[in-house]
Amino acid sequence: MNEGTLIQGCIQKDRSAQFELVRTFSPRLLTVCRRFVPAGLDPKDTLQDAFIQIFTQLERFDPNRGELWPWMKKITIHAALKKHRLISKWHLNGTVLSDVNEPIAAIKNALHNLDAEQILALIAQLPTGQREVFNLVAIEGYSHEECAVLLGMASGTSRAYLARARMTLKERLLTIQTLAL
Amino acid sequence: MNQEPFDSSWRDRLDQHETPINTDLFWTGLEPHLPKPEKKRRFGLIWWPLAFGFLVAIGYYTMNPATKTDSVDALPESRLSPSKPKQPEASMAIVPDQLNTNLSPQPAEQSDSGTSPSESTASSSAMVLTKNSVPAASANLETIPPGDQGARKGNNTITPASIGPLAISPPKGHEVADQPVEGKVSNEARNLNVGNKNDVHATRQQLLMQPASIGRLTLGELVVASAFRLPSVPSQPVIPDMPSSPKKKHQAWSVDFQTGPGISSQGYKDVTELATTLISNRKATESPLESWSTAMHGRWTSKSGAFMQVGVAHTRMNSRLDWNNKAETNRWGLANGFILEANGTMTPWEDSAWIVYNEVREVRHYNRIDILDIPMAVGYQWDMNEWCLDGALGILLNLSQSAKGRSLGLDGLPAYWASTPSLTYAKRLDLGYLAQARLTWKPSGSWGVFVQPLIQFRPSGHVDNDETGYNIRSWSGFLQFGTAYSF
Repeated sequence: MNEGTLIQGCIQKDRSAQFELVRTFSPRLLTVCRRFVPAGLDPKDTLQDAFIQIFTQLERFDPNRGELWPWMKKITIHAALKKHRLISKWHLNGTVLSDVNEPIAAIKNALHNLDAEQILALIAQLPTGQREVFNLVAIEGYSHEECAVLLGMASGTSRAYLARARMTLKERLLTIQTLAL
Repeated sequence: MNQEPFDSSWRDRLDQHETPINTDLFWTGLEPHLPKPEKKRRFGLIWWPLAFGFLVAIGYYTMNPATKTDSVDALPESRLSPSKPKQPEASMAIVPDQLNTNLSPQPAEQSDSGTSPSESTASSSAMVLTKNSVPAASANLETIPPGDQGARKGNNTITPASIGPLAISPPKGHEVADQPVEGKVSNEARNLNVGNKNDVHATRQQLLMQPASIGRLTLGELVVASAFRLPSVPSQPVIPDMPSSPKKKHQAWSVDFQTGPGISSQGYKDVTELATTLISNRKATESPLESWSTAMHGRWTSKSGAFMQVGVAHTRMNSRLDWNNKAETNRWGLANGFILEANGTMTPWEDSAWIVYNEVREVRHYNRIDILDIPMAVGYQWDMNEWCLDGALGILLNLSQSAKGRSLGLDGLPAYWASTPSLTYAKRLDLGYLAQARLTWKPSGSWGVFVQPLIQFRPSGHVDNDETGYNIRSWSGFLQFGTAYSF
């Protein structure tokens, strides 16, 4: 089933086509969700919200303006940001999620070769603002202006958070190397 | 490490990474939350043409002379017996050689006829005939106005002369004196069925004497007939020039142009959100401001007065929305906490995080929407000499909709100015509905001017742009003035 047929089937709310779309793209979209969702929260919840948005908005997808994958990724990112804002209060009362130590432990055990899972774990350790800016600018390629609009901050703030995120990640990498030695 | 290679190294590692997921299990949880397939809304598309066809059929049947039944049933009840005979219950009677009615007979006649009074007056639908006589449906002449009751003269037997001198004027030399109604009288009466106002009542009497549909049975010397149904009448105008009869119409074509002011109110039924920075989940009804509608129609009017019209219409709707909403916003701010390190220590943590603020947003939006429709309607018109009154119901087939809006902030300065040239209905045929009434004055017969209240209802408008979708329901009312020309 090619992409056009798949899209038409999903627009017509054909369950088999929708399942095929989920089966094809859910592993990659789940990775996107893991980058934006704080550690300790189930990224599948965000992925489910993202797919609901995708199937609801699919009629508006214009193949002439871009491919399906970037469009779906954009919706997933927006869904993740929106969902995260709803739980952002958790950070205000000084409660940091207790599962933070689990990814770091995984990093300890994999010293030399950082695979994608470990990289995701490192990113998940970043504070919320740094993580979101780093994901949007460094990985997704957003400009600081776009990132600032999306996150509701000044572009200078976005630059500052990106710099701090890079510094934090470098420190973590050095720590991991040190522990490996 | 340079920043760009540092970023790209992370990007490259994560770009194609796939996280294993149990798709079946995930789908099981996802499927109940997905929108179900919608039933296609074909109701309007099917029933409007059917309703229109039904209306045209009624008009055609009503006014087409070939199908019209000018039976006695069509005569005004006041001219006939108030106790209209029940056809299946029509009684039969056998009397010798004389036609009786339900008028009270003279005693001498009762003895001559040998029929009891109860038999002769038993039923208004009873018919008593003799051999070679003309069967006739009896009518209760008691209900005929006094001036027309020539039939009550003499011995209460219907004769051409007794019906009235103005009603039936037989040819010269024809014997009309106090004879029972016989076949030749009936034929004469039919021949006298001419279009004279003074013949109204007599003509009806003659129509009652039509022999065509009366069953007859010969028993020896007697003929028994029973009017199981009223006689049919030739398909010709019964009373051509009766003052109260409707004016004869002809089908006609006409064109009209109309324009006029009105007000519109539209409500945002739902808003679909994609980008997080846009207005979301807003339900509001906008305050009506001035609107204007202009239209041109072509109209075909049948003989019956039923008509259908098709045209093109432009509607400009202005509205204002005062949005005063308590909104919850998230902004960056300092937050404190602790990080649980791998070795079990707690590290103080201070960084920025999303902070929830409650604030009141007050924005005033001015929206202007231009709509292009094809209005189609069916209705009925009543002609009253120079005046004409009609009413119609119809649909609005939307061609396009464009919107332009302006928003003002709390300080009264423009918040933004947005213009979207083509916001079209999204991939579906949108139907609106209209109702109109029109009072036309035609001093010249062809040209006329009219005033027309018009109501429009658009229940399922949908406006799309890149990131939001608005389901809009709108009402509009207009008072239009126009001119029409009939061919």
